[in-house]
Amino acid sequence: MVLTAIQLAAIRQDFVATLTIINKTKPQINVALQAIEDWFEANRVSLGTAIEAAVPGQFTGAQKLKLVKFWLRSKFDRE
Amino acid sequence: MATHRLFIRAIGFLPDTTGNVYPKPGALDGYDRFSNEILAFKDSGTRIGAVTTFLVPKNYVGTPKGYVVWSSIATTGDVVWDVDTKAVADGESLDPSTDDDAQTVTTTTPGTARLRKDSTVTFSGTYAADDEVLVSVYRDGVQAADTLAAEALFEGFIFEFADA
Repeated sequence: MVLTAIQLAAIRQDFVATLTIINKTKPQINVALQAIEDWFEANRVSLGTAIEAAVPGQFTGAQKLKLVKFWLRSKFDRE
Repeated sequence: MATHRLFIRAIGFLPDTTGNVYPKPGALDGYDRFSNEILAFKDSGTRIGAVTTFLVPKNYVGTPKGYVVWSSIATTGDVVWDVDTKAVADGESLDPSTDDDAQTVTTTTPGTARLRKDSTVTFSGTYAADDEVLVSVYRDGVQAADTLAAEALFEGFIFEFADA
């Protein structure tokens, strides 16, 4: 999925707010974000399959997404 | 013939209604000792702006130029500035449908944060002493050339002209 200009801007603003020195351009950040988006889209099915294999029939697709969302938040707060 | 300059501070501009242009004290961005009020033009990916007016001085003759005075805490990236104007004489519309000038300039931010940068546009419209000039300053984030991933911090606008 190609991120829209508005979606990119929103994520860029959050990212830049964490920097003390802003030495990246919009195109550089945009390309990185699109790479993340592309990687996730390429791997989302296998991620869902992994959850399903561990706990068969217990979680809906929406619930799996929320599990991933909250896991990601926890994961990168820990790193 | 001498050159004169009229400086309009950012606080004299009214931001548009997008919420992406807003006043803020410079201290929030590390301008610690002289924290005057500036207008932040967000990296929104859209065209955002602010407007003001000024009166053309009595000694105006010609050679009009405009300068967008700004800075940034980023050390890389370009900003696309659009400057639109309309000179209005007594009896003319203050709600004009056309511009006298619609100029664009793309400027690279300095490699050091918080340095002043002036982006220059040369006006081609007709201005006369005592005209009220309507001025819009836009950051055109839609343009691919606008690559600054930070707020453009607008200090003010300079109108330059020559007398007789």
